[in-house]
Amino acid sequence: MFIFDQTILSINYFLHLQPKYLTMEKLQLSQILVKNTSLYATRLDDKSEKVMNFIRVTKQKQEEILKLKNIDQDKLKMVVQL
Amino acid sequence: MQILEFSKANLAFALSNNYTSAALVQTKYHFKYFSEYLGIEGLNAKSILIEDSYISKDFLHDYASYYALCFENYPKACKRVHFFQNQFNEVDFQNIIISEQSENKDFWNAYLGFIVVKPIPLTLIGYTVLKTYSNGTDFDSRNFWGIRQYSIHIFGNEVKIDSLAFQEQDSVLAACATTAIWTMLNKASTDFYTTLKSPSQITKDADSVSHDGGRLFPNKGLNLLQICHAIVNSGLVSEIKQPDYSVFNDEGKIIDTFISNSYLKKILNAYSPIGIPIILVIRVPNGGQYGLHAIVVSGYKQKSPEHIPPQDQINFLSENIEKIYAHDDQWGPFVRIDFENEIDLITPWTIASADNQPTRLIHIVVPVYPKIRLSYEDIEVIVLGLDAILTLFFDGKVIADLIWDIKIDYSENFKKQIIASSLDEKEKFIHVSKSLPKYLWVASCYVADFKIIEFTFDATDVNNGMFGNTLVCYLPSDFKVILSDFLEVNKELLQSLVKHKANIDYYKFFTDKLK
Repeated sequence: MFIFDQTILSINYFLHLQPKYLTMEKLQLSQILVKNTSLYATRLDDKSEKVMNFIRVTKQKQEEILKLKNIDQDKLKMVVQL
Repeated sequence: MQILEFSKANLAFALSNNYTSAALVQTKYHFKYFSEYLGIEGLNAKSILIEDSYISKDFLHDYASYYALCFENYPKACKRVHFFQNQFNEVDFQNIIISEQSENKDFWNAYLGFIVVKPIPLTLIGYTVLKTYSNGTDFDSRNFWGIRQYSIHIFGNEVKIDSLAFQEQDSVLAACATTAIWTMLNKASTDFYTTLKSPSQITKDADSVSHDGGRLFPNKGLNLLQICHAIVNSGLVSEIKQPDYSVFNDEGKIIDTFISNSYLKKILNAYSPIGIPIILVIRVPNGGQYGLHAIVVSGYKQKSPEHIPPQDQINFLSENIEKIYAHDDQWGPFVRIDFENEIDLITPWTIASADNQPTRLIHIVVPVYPKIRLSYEDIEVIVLGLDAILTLFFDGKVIADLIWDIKIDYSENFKKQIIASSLDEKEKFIHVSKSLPKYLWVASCYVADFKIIEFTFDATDVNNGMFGNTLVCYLPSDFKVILSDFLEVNKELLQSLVKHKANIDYYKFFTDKLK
């Protein structure tokens, strides 16, 4: 679980004030959220090791994907001949 | 014309010619494959119809390029062998072909396709069009996205079947790579930008000399660069995907590299909506050694997604691909390939080899229309960042992990999906009335069975541009407000997760589109 230090908005608050957004066809947040949980626009703790490590790992994965775009010129000479 | 009951012996006889006996035909991998594909466990053929003196345009080109110039007097006419799921005799068939076709719908519905037998030694399997096994787009169905409709004319009657043409390499004018390109072009040429060429023309398009500097014919195979040249000369461009998986020795040195099954699945899932078959360069076990071979994928089977608990690792819908179907010119059309562990593929080559030696993937050649300028990797990098942002936002409060589906598609298909979606009318109008490029990369994010948000990217843009195009949110507006506020509050920390030169513009686009 990530550590949040600021609570700005609660989805339950909006659901209460703005029922016009609730239609039968439209997907509702309650369908995807764990029971009795709400979403908040919280400020992430940039001192949290877990948050920073997650961001660092994501950036490493991005670098690995970008490396795949650099074609090894020698491999282009491989002959497909069976 | 000759009508035979379907049996292995009659199939071997039907596929034989003056240069290759039925006994020799029975030793070919193709015979083994066709016996099963058309047999009781497959399409369940009951009758064989042999049509003599058939002029195959495809063979005629190769005949004019090479065989006509041989001292041996090779005939230019082929024979065409048709297969039916019903039983009939010569009198029945004569009556059927001279009567109104609409009166014999049941008869023609049982038509399974044909194999052209070329009048040359051993490599005699010519232009072949056979029905696929059952086909559908739902999960757990075989999805043949790389096929097209063929109109087949049989003694004045016209039958339409969905398939992808197949033929065996003749080892003179074409090796496996040329045949793979020919198969791919059979589908791609349904778009008017692309030209279908005969195998000899494709080999000539690849280069003026062989890869070893010698004569082009008899052809000794193509290298990857020559494959790309041939594709470009047919009106397409190619993207080469290279190994992402390294095998290390005890000292930690890389001894070999392959494309992982996971990367292969991502690429097939991503490019399949365009419908152009994808070429795989595989390393296959062959006679105690390994050789490089080219095959063409035209379909896959994808199982239903499973709900995974929230986790930091990104998940892709493509992981659910459990089998692929490929044209292997040395076996047959729609050959089934299974996945095993991270890098091994189970192909007919594996099954036929001693100790079931694995097949491994070396390269993927993705033929695309020239207007498509952004590759899958350009989008996956962005999606990795978006997944991280949303994972931090949801903080494990969702019932299942986020699953991403990255695909390139025609913008008209994207608009059709919008019309069929649960969005309200106002939002639908905004998206449908927007001018869009012909091709879009679409990254859809799911939680369990629900599509929650979709990002589109202009696939025709330059890589350094801000190619973000649309954001479609399927959750209520109040969710958008919270997410938008979350992005504003954490801009300094999260903006760098959008790994792109235009990350400032894209982050702003992401935030603004939620308002």
